[in-house]
Amino acid sequence: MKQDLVRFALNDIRRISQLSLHDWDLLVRQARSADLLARLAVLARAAGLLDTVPAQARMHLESALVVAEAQDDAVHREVEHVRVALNAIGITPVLLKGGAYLMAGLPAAQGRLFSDLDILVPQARLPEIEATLMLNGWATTHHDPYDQRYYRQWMHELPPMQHIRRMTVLDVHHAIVPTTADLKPDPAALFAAAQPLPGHPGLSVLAPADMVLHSATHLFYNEEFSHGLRDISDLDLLLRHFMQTPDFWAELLGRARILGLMRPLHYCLRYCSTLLATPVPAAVLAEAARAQGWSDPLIHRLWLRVLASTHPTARRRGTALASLLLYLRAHWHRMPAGLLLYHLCRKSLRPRARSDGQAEV
Amino acid sequence: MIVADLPPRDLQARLKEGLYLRTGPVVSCIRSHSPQLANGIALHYAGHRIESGFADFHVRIDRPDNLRRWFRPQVLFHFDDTPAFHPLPADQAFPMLEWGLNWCVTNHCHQYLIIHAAVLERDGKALLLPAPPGSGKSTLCAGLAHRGWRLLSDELALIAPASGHVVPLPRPVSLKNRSIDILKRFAPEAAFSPTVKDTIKGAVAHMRAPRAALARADETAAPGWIVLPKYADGADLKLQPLTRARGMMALIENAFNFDLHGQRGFNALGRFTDACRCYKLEYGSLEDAIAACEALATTDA
Amino acid sequence: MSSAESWRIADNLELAWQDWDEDEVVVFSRRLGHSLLLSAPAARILAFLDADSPLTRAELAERLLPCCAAGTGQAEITALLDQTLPEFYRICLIEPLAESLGPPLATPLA
Repeated sequence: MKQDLVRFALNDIRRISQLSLHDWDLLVRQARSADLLARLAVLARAAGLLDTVPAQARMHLESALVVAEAQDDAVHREVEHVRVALNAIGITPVLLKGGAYLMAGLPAAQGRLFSDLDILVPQARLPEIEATLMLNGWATTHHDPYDQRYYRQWMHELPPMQHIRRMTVLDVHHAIVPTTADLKPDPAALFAAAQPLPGHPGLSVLAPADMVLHSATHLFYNEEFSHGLRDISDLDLLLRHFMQTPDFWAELLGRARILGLMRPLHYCLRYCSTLLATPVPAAVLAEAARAQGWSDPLIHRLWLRVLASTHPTARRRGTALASLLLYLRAHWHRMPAGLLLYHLCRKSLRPRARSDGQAEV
Repeated sequence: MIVADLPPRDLQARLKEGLYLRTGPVVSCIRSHSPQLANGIALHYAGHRIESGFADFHVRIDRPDNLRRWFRPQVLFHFDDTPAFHPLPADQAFPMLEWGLNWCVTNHCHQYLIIHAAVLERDGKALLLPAPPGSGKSTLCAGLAHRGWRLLSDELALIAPASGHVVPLPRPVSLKNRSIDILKRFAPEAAFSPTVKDTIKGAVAHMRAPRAALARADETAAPGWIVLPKYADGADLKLQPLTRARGMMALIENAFNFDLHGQRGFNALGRFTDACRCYKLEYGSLEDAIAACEALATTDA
Repeated sequence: MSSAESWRIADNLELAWQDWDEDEVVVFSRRLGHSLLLSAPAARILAFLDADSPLTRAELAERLLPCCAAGTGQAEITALLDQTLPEFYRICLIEPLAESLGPPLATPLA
């Protein structure tokens, strides 16, 4: 019988005490393929359970921890390079996603593996920002004119920039959803609420509620779900951390209203509570559910398939189809129909040269 | 149960389902329909234990599901059902397994500091031969393994950071081109797999690890010597002491995962080198090099 | 190059050392993630700057003299500084204090 042991363990880490050696064999493989092995290790360690893991399996958790902890230094270094380059022209970059979680010391950063660094900058100063980055050694990728247009005109970011010497990748965003999308959160509102990063002058991060909303929008309106389970796990950790602040839930609902992101928030809260037992108050779930769309009950099962381990020992039938349907849906939301048709035709005629399989932050 | 306990037909049947093979600290579940692979395992892993329940790595070596099944057949290495390398000709199935198992370790065993080095043991102390390909370290390693040194690994020195000890990974020694004949003459008692020609490394054969390597696979080795080997045809023997700083630098430069261990790794390799004597060894004949290492073991005892 | 030329260690290098009192030393920078093999005298120069920045060339020369082999003269020490300081600058370990600079040095790696 196929079992998603990663979701099983993330739901309540104490459950790992129930696992047999054979279960551990499956869990290690499933977690590794979902990029969640290090996260499991961090959660097990925090719960004081690492020593109870069978030695053979524990080796893999320890190896994953070494890799995850090495990133700390590497990311700090890279963020510093970006800060120095952009502060010089008076720009305070807003760190996004994994880079933000790590620099802000959030639990969501622990055990998380990533490669690209994501930042948010004002659209008005984009040409100057791009020029400064290039002067400091970052080069644009995706040189095909179509790809360039795809990113610059239609999406919400510059084509990824890669540093010529360090080979690190920087994704420069000017909004958190594509320009062409039907959701239109105002970047000005995000900047206005952005907070300086304590201990790191010259850097900012999104306000806690905005961080959650950004992550939720990215997961539920993006086209790729290869990290679906990891992304929902990130959201679970963000919520569990921020909910310790009084008034967080009210703030979260308030921001979702202002930014027009209630629907992604609804998905986020629904799936976090259903799959990972995130303790979201019932009233908050109900309030967010009012933004539910007519198609949501239909796609509910698709999300359940996709927010899971993709390993062959866990994957249920219908997952590939679910991914495809959600991919199409994401494109539908990200681009007007005419443009979408053009884009999909282009894509099918020529393979898109995206980054070499590196994990998106 | 060990591999030799299985009659050939049973071994092939196991391989179709998944053979859980222990090699030192690592258990690999190997699946394959390849007869060359089965023969290679029967020869080189005869004394290795068969486990069940948990494998550190799940690998599969089989023909790809395309036309190449029939025409100039190939084999593909899968790590947990994902192809990890380009396909190779089907007769290279066993070398592919060996390269693949090395890849598994270097990419997933980061609880160790992993140095690209041959490593052997004498009197509880480890002799590390860190060197890039082409330095002759595999030939020297294979020779030493038959002259009183216990083989720990021909490729991967696994250093446990906390204890500073080297952990054995008993697997066959990979030999290329001329080394194959040199070793066959040097150690006629050793078992060799058939030579596979035309690999990207040239002609390749594997030499079975001597019995002691497997029998004492649970015994780690303390730091002993770091020796940088350099083979040149007809060269005179020259054994020169090196500063410990240079010895340590050789470990760092040949480490697969030093960057992952950062400061802790730096400190661990510092402590390791502190307990070692460091040398550079230039040689033109295997016998000379072995004699030089013997002298090290005797004087430093 | 002037003896008043002043140098300081780059920010936050977080250096760690392995020094066995031999002719060579290994140094590791946590921030750069790199290790380097240095001659003992070059290692001393870096260590002085790590401990007390900024230092002028004259101050460095003065501190080096007792560490060098007996009979080492000013000329050798000057040659050592001439060779080592630009190289450390090139690999981003040290920085000159701008006002003290003479002729331009090779640009450091980004």
